[in-house]
Amino acid sequence: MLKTLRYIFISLIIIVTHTYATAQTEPQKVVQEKQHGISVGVDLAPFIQKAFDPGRTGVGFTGRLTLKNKWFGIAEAGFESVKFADKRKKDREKIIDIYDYNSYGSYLRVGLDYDFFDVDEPGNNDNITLGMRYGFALQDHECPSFKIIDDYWGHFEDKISKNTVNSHWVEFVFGLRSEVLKNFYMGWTIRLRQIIAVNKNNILEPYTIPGYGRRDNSTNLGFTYTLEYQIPFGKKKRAIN
Amino acid sequence: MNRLLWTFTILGLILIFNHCSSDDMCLSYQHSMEVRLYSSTSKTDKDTALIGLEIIGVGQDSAWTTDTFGQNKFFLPLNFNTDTTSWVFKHKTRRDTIDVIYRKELNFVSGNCGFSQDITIDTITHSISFIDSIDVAYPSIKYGENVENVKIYIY
Repeated sequence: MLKTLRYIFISLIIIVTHTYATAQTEPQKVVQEKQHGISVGVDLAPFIQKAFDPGRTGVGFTGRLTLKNKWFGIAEAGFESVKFADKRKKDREKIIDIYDYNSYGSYLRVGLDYDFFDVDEPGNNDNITLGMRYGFALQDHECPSFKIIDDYWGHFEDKISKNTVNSHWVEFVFGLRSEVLKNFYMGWTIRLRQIIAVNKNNILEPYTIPGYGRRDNSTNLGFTYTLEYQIPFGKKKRAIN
Repeated sequence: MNRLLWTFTILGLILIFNHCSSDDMCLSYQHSMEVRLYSSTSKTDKDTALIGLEIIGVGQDSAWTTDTFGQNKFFLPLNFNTDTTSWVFKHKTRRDTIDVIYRKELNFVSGNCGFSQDITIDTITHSISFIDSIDVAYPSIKYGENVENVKIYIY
């Protein structure tokens, strides 16, 4: 896992440094200012995620507003439900349901993106961005039944009733966004998430936190894959250097 | 920059990352106390073994373990549903009973592995047919720990 992480971040560093170096060595040129606008979109990552983790069902939406120069204000919101009705493990010859878990929750992530991709080609509105997010999630979760296995003395069985958890985290975001049709954008981001706090009132930890991912990890790698429609406003041509 | 190439490269890496991140290795019978047998005649702790030793939970029909080749370490689970677990140590014609008195605390292990019970041994009482004394060396029994909890000194 560490090797994969290392490979991804080395790749990102190479992209960033290559872009910066290219900008340093090429002659001065007129840089086109990109189309400003406000975008709304849907995040397809939860649908991809479901293929790997069928117990998780979610949907995510994203909003993007062009701020001054190359800055974007970002708001992302979504919902996720998690259900394990069939989480079982082998206990000698038997299959035993040891742990049922349900969770329903929503999340909100807000932050900024900076576009460091300068283009000289008119009409090119693509972006390569670095950004940060603050994330907040509110979820109800419960454990309708669980067992601790002991074939000799007898299993321990209990449940933990529904309660509310709120969670906070920060994200560092790297992303590409490309205009594939007029005002329609496709983009992806890769995110390094760091949990700040999980406020709960009993021992049950969330299996996943909506918008964050697996709670077992205090640091998570996440991604989004978005389709957006941009309502354009204003456009200027500018020169740098 | 070939955006499509980068897109699929990064997405591929993420999918590989997701695919390779394995689930936790879940452990079972983590509520067992680790018991080791020592000779009471030695001035320092010296392992001993009783071939043919049978350990039976009080109230159970079957033995938890029977030592057929001279082992000196046993893992004895404690009953979740009571605060005292009693074991009979039977060796040939002799038998001793030990009563383990303890406290339990529910512990959430992980999303994959569920729950366990952390146990703290308060005291152990015993009869004295062939058990000389018992020392609770490490009273805490926790998920994932592998520590000698109880020393039993044999005549």
